[in-house]
Amino acid sequence: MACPICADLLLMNQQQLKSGVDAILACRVVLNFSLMKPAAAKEKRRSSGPSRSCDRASRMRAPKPARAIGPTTSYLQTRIRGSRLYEAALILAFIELSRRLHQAYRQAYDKQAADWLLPQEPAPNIDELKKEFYKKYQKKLARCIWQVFGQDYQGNPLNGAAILPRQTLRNAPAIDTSRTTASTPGNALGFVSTSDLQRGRFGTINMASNIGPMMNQSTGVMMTTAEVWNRTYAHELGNLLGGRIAGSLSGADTLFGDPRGIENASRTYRDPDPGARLETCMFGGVAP
Amino acid sequence: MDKRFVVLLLMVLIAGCAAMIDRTSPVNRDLVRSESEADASVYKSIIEAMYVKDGIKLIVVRDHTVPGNLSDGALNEQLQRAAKELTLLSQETVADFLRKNSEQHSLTSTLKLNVDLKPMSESESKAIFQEGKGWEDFYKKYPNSQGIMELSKPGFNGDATQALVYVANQGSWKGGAGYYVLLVKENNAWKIGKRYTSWVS
Repeated sequence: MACPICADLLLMNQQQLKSGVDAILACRVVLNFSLMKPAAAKEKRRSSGPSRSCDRASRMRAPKPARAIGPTTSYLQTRIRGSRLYEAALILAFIELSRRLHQAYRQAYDKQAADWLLPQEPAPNIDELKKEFYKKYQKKLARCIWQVFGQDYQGNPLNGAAILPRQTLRNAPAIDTSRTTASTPGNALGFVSTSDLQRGRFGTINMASNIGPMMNQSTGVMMTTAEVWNRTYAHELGNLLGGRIAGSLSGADTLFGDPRGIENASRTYRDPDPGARLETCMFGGVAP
Repeated sequence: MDKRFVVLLLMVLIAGCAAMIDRTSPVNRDLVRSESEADASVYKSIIEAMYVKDGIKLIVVRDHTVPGNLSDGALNEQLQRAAKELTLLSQETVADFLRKNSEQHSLTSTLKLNVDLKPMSESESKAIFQEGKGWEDFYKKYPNSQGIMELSKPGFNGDATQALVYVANQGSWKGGAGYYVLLVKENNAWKIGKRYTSWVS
């Protein structure tokens, strides 16, 4: 190696060798041999022969002595394997990412659809609902109390409304929500027992704690929790007030109820109590 | 050996059959039958007078008795309140009512009506109201029915001329009521004397 010409030759050979290796690697990537089975790739290489650039690179390949100095065959094979693994990993990562994106999208869509079809509302706050009821329906309630307790179902005058103080939030009955529909008599949304007429200063109404959105069969529209609650409260308020004026629930039905019964929205039952009359006056019918 | 085995087998069979024989005396059997007939007669009068109307073709009733309104305090307190309205109600009838309703009874065998009758079990009710859509499912299954009825065991006075029964019926989410009904016997038939409303929905 002391000869400078030999050193120059060697340097030139090394540069040629390096560019040759890079060209071969590029060819393999272009031909996508990495995705083929080794045998198939080998066969393809043999049958189609190297491309023009590959051919040129092959022709420029260094003579035997230089190969000993530059990258070895095993080094090339390792780089090719690494390249294949890298590409395979990229493809798997892409597939996995697509799968997860699809899954997340589907879950989000399902949740949105469920929320749209079956709105999930938080558990109602009874005090808030009661306050809202009187805020929203105060005037209508006063007018309907005159209609239900000021005259019977046939329009004959009664003095029930006159002896009843104006109904506001301040003299509203207490609400007992200790039962669900499963434990109320007859799976009812609300009810009034005889003892409730005098339970608490202004009486007590039992409202099921699990009142939620329900279908109004006459309109085909889903009622919100607040609407179902307001209707039930108005209905049971009518029964309670009737009982308190008459002195008993039996008397309330006789004096202020409608013996013909008021048909409910699904047309399956005719309700004869004063609650049905008050709800009908305030909301245009009995529902659900 | 074989004879001994046959004799032993016969003895076991005879002992088994003897255990299955109804030991109720003939007098007691008659009493049970007459009580059952009296109950059936009272139930028929109440149901046909109060609920068989407006195109009702089927009566759905709980398959066991209930003592009264379970959400209105102790039963004897309820009856004291009821007695203020049902002025003819005798203490004898109240005592018999309380005694008979201290436990549940099956209703299926005592009900005989002029319309179809469907006893409803607790599991069926649960399937409809807790797992299903409630009244919507109920009326799909039992159209032309009055809803779901609950009955107590009737209580009678000494000479069986007065009867007290608790009957409750719910027909929708907000349509129902429970009553203590006082019946009186006139011309060998039960007639509703007066009723006391225990709850309304």
